[in-house]
Amino acid sequence: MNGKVLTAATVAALSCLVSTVWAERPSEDATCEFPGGAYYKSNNTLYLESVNDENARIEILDTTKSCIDVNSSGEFNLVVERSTKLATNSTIVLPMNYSPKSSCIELYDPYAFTTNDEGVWNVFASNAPGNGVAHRALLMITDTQRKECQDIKEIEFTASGLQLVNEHTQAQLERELHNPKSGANDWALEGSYNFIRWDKDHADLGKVYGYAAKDKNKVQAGHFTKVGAGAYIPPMRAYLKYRGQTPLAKSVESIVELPETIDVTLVEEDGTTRLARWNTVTGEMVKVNGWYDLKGRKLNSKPQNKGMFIGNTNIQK
Amino acid sequence: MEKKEYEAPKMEIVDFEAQACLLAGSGEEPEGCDDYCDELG
Repeated sequence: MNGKVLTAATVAALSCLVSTVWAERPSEDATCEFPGGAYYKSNNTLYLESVNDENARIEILDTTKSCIDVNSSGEFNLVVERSTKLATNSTIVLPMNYSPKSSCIELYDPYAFTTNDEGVWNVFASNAPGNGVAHRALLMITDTQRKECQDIKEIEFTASGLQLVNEHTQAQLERELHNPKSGANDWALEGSYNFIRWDKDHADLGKVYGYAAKDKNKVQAGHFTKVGAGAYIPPMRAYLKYRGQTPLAKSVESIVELPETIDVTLVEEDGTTRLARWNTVTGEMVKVNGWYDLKGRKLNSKPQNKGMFIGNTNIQK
Repeated sequence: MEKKEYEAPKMEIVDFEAQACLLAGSGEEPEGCDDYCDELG
């Protein structure tokens, strides 16, 4: 084999390996490992993986709990490893009580979901000063204006009170959100300890919303947006789901009226509120932007010559 | 045997309007995905 090719292949393989190894874990073998994570006694740290893997899930059994040798305060360190860096807005749900170590991160607890006077859907979330509660899905706001907060993939917490995660846990992760206008709990914030993908035939498609983790087309990372076919969420995150128990669901037409975007209002401890910076509408989706020829090549402007082209409203002959 | 004169089929230019239809692969969006179709944070 060509030596240069071999070298390039080796470098590529090593780069791939390096990118999948979590730098912060101790070099020795883990004290115990389980689906979705590992515990190291040497630094009293539990590592949990919130990664893009179809089979990713968290499972914590009694044996895992007994493995974790907490100190006298009952606390241990927790590192949540994400495959994508934190955007301004994201979600989290963990099987323990936790507190972020970094001032980059604030937790907010959603409590209501309604429409404002202009008919724009709005989630209200209150500041959960410093604390997250086991199995309770929260919004996580990262101050990405600060340089040191812009590339966080490993989120560090102080944690305590580890809970079991098994096949019965998922039912505990649904948070109903009250709609003061309808008087019903129209929506729910649902956390998950499993990887979920919404394929095109998924029953919930069209009713699910979440924070984009990446810049994609017109949606920017951190935007709250409607989920389309193929979207997915790694374990220990949450999404918003329409529960279909209000007048919204009485007709097919009403489902169509589900919002394309939803604003989020954060309520601080002193009662002041702020609309999230990211609450701009992500834009009307126009399926055809401009003109294309029959081979699918985009044209700079409307064609002047005769022929068949794919355009905004008709086929130009 | 009687010879039959060949008649070419008549061609007609049809003026038509049609609903926009984006060819697969020609747009900027992935097929079947009008919304956000990637990782949620």
